[in-house]
Amino acid sequence: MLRFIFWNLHRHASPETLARLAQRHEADIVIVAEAARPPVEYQLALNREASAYHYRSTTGGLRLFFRLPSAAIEVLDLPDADLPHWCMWRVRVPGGSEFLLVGVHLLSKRWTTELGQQQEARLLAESIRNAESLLGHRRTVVVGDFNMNPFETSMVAAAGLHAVSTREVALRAERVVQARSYPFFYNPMWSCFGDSSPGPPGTYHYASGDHLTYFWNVFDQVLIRPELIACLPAESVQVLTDDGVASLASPLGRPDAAACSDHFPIAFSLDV
Amino acid sequence: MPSLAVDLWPNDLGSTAEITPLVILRDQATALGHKTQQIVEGEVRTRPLNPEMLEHEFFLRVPALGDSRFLLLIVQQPTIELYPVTVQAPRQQLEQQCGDQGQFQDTLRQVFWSGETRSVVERLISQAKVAA
Repeated sequence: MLRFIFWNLHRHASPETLARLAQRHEADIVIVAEAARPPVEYQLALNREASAYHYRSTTGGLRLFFRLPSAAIEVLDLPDADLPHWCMWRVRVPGGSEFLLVGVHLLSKRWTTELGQQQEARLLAESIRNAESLLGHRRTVVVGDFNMNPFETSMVAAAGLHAVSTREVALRAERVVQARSYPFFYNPMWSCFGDSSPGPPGTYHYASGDHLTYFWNVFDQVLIRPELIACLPAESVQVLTDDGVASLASPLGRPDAAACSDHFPIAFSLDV
Repeated sequence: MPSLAVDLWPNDLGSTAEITPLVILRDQATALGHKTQQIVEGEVRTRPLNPEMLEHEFFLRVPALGDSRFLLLIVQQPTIELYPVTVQAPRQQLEQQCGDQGQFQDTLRQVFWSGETRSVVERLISQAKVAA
């Protein structure tokens, strides 16, 4: 069983906090965005107890740390595999199977329009399908800060990420729209919204003065292809609110941007 | 397995775990990573020179420096007999033939413990620590 953590560090959360989080949740693969410190500082913190975590750089701001054998994870050999807002890695699990891991930190509405987000999502989806053709399988997991909620057009549209809220729909594998077939993703993060979620009501809190504000958002998400749904224990998908020592939340229960980050980290497991 | 009329091969093929030059080199790659907290990793690339000879290149890999790789040494070995191997360390202008596993390990130790190698690894670590 592999345990994953993704966290947008908001250029603030410390290497020590990340290391405690990884240790607390026994993370095998850790992906971060908006890291302010040199990557080796996070790596040294992660490796304080045992020199287990390897580091892989990306063109953009994502940082990957993993404690599998060094050769287990490599960037995919495709021109669009390593771009400013995403990176694709081929993961070969010792004694297990291979899968495609895609880390993302997509543009926020602060820097682009909704149309811009839709275009980027469409390009990402196409790149993922191309990568899957190259690899000859669709054992794909996409994780990161999408800067969009699960219900937004780019996440749900067939030509976008086509990520649906239930396993049952996703297990239909694909849908034909206007004579084109589009594969599904399953998005378990729909279940992380609001008061009925087992954890906090979202991963990112923002209250604007505008007519439309959701207050709680789930920007940090994991998407799973149907081929991997059986490998994802439902209870393993979590929004994390402490690092085992300190809370990551403010007294109001929101991500503590002053102490660490304005995002909560997310975690999930895959039995590959 | 497909059904065969006659199978004349031994049943225990591939069950012995011989310590080949490649196994030794890969172990050193792993050990280097542990010694440097994975800031500098060892990476071994193997290719056939011809049907009779294999060549292994041992690189120092530094993910934090744009995933740079620096060639530390080259080992050439007979594919079947395993020894003698030839070890080349270009930075130290060293070329040494090793008749058996013991000599091979002594030569590797000589390269790894040299002032030149230590200096290279230390410089790579220092630069990696501040690289963005």
